[in-house]
Amino acid sequence: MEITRKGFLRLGLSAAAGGLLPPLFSRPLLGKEKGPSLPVPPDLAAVRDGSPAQMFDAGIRALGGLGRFVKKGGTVLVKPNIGWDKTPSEGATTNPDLVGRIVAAAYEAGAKKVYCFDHSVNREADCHRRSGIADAVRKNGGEMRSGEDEKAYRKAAIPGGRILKEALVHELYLDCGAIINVPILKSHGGGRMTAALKNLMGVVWDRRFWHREDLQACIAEFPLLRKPDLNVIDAFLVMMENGPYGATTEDLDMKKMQLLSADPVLADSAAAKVLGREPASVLYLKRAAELGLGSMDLKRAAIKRISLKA
Amino acid sequence: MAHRIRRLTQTAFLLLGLCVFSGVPGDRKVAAFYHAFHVFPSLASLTWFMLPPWGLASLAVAGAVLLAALLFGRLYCGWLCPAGFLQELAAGLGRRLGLEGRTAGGWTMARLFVLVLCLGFLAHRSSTYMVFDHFSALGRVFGLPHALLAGGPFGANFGLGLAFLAVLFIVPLRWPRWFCGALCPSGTLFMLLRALAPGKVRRGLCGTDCGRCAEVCPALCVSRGGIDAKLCVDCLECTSICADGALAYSFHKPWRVLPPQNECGVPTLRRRELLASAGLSVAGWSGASWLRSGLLRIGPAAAVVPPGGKAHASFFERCVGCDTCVSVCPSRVLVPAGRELDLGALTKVRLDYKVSYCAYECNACLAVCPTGAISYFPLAAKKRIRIGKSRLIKKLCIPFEFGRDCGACQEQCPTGALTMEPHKSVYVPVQHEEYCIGCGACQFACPTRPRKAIVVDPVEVHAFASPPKRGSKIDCRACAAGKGGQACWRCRPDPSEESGGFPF
Repeated sequence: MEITRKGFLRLGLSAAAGGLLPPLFSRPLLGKEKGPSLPVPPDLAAVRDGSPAQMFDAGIRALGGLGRFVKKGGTVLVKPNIGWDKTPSEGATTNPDLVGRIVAAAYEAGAKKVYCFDHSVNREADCHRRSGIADAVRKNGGEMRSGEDEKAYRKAAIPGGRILKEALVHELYLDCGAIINVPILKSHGGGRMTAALKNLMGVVWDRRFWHREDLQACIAEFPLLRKPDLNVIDAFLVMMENGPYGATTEDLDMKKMQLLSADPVLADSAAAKVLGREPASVLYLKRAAELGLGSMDLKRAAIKRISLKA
Repeated sequence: MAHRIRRLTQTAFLLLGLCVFSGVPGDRKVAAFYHAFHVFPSLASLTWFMLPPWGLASLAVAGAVLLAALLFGRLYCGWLCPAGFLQELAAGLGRRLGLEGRTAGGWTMARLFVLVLCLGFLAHRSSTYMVFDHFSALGRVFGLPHALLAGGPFGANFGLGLAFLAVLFIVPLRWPRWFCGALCPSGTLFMLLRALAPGKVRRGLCGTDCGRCAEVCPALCVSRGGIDAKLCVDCLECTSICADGALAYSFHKPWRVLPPQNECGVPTLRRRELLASAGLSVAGWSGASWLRSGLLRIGPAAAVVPPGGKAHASFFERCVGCDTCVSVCPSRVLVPAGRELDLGALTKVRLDYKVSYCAYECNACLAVCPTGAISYFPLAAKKRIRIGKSRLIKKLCIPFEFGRDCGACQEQCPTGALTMEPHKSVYVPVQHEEYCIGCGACQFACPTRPRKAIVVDPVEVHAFASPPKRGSKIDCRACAAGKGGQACWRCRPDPSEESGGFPF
């Protein structure tokens, strides 16, 4: 019953602050208070033992519905990992069923138009086809856009960026009303792990700059430009070692999990635990937390844990 | 009627050629069938004592084309050849503009010399015959738009492509089918076979002298005086229009001497021409040998050649520079070679890792090569062909030199030939040579400038690399023996039930 108590306290606090603090990011600072009992969404929804689409439905319900993140009549960008010319069973790209379900759910929540793209590492047409994501998006009425055309990228200044001061950013990331970040969780040679924050590297044009100047710092600083409204980490089939390409499927572990949060740092911290690592060992997470982009504190976060096991 | 059927077969063969050369996805057998029609590249394999790319089937088709010429005349030239067809179209335009008027009849010695030179190159296992071979020249012409779209490189093949474009569309405005009668080595070969053929177009006594035959002949070889048998391609345009039946396609014993007023089918070679061309032939044959070992010698190559090329020597000997593989390469890593190679390799292709890398899940170029310069391997085998070897230059490498995480190279390595291992405070790339296939993904991804910290060196002879690296810590005995370190993810205990089965 811990969750209910925390939610209870948070509501009390926000009431005390005159409703100035958005309930999601507030922390219980005062002692026990009594107040009206209203459901307040948790910081992180962790779901397990369902299909990727089922887990998304359960998780987003726990977070208070996709309507919280998607405005009626607005545009939505769904940003999965479509970086590699690989099949879904190889665990290198986001599960296509999950992406398809999110596109459909965004329309159900009243979105006017749902877009999907990634600046793929391998040839885009191959990645789109083999990952199954292009099919899934189109089947659900979404529009696949290209990330291979430099003309679609605009120069944007990163406010407060020390290494990454500006970047060529895809217009969809800059212009869409809501951004749903849908990475797949993998180990990563350069960044140690790839999930919510690292996935945003796929909306910029010049990735070599990041690698060259300071990969960890650039990953941490990029969301200063804009944070995704919702992060859905696909941890169904997880590449535990030797990512992100995966020369073998022997490093894959069927975790059947999904992590949903508006806070990319919190979601990544939980994801690090799923990979069996300490969040503090992932340098960019520490830096992002220092920059105020989110919290690494899993102990104090309100986490809704859901098991769909029958 | 004959005209319509001929236009139909010519158009069909041209379209088929367009599909094959531009890599429109189709059955490999169709492409091989099309290739086999072209005598020069498809028989080249025999000089290596090997079969053409599709084996006996290719050989049978190529043999049938030669046999058909020996029995029925130059049917390939007149009814199929895309180069001939395109020249006829241009000649038609020239005729309308009032430009045409010259035949290629005076080029007999030149064409014999070209044929002998090409045969000489063949015999000396050099693909330099490609300069004159209409088949590979067509490939370069069809490759021109691709080169323009890709923005270059505009090397030797581009120049040769432009030259043949002029031969196809500009020269015939005034000299119809000039290439067929003046240079084409296949055409000359067919001309010689036709001389022995029982079936061909012959001219008998002409009663009306109407001259319509001369108007319709696409090679300008027929006139009131007779047929210039060196140029006739047996297209049957004149026979179907001839009013009094003087021109007809007929079968005779080839050695039968026809009455003098009848134009016979033997090429009208004068003795002086015959002697001169014999001399030229010797010169051509030895010239090919001399060029091959001298000016056009290809030394140890400084370039990576496509998987299936097997070895630099055999690849460069066979590649005719038709650029089909360049046109079909989805990652555009295949480019016409440039000055970085020897003169003899100027018209070949190579992989340029500055532009792109060889995609792991692709074997497109292996399926289209007409000469077997690139042998076909199924995708699973191609994924293991080592065409180069990566070399890490630690002095330039970001984690080694600057102590910052990077991992761009390992990220893209498809075979596990690169892993990231802890070193001081960061992870550094570590090479595992046995898995490296030299695809160039690491070199392409490496962010250092101006020089890359990891580069792929060509290997002289291709080989199979080990199958991709297996997963980490697969050996559970080491773990069970308690040999220190953390348990791998396979052996970690499941998260407790109180956290709902989550590790947090």
